[in-house]
Amino acid sequence: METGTLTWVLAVNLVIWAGIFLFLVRLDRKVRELEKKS
Amino acid sequence: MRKILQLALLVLGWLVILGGFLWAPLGKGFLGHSSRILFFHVPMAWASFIAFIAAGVWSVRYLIGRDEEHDRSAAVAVELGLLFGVLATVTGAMWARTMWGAFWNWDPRQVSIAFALLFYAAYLALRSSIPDEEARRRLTASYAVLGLAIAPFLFFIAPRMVPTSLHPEPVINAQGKPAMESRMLMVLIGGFVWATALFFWLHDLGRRCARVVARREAPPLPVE
Repeated sequence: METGTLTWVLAVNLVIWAGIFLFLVRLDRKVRELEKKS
Repeated sequence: MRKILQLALLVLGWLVILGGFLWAPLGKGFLGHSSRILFFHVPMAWASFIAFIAAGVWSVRYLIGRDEEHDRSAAVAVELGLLFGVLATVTGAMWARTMWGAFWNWDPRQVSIAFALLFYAAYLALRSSIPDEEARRRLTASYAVLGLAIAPFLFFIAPRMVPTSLHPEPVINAQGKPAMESRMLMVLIGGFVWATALFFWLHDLGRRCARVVARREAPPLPVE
């Protein structure tokens, strides 16, 4: 595998993990709000 | 405190990805960069195993104390175990395509994880097929307790019983020592911590969501 390809795969993985993380943080906040309401 | 732990998990995830791609050396006997998938495949399989065992433990606690919260915890753990198990199977199949030439080779490890996934998929089917809540909780908890014996057998014992497996040597070899280069081992241990912490965070979220839904669906208290 070329170095350029590996760098792309690495960058995509880093961005995917950051996206999943942000999604989970937002979900956590929403669930906390719902817990307060119910 | 919660935010600090979340941030630590984000950084740990990035470190594992960076370490797996840039810092850890390539594994000996692997084609190209295929050994790098190890840092994601093995922790996913580990998180799946942890989830199934946790489901069994919460089910035992439910059967002892009849606390609905333990039943919800067990169900969420099984769902997450299936998610991580599917990820482990998919990453394993990607690796097998490179190394063995086909995504699925009926290798003992592939077959045993497929059995484990079917066993726990049946848990969810059982859960959705019993209308009576009390009976459903009791039966599914008993089923998940059975999993406490099934999961270790399928994850650790069954694949080792067949000597013809092409699967690489486990992380801890027959001599009880880690059989890999130290940098690879460090990234892999980081991967284990990352996957385990991710499981517990996802589990906390799933359990709390299930509790909110249960509260909303509960019939209103009679007004005196």
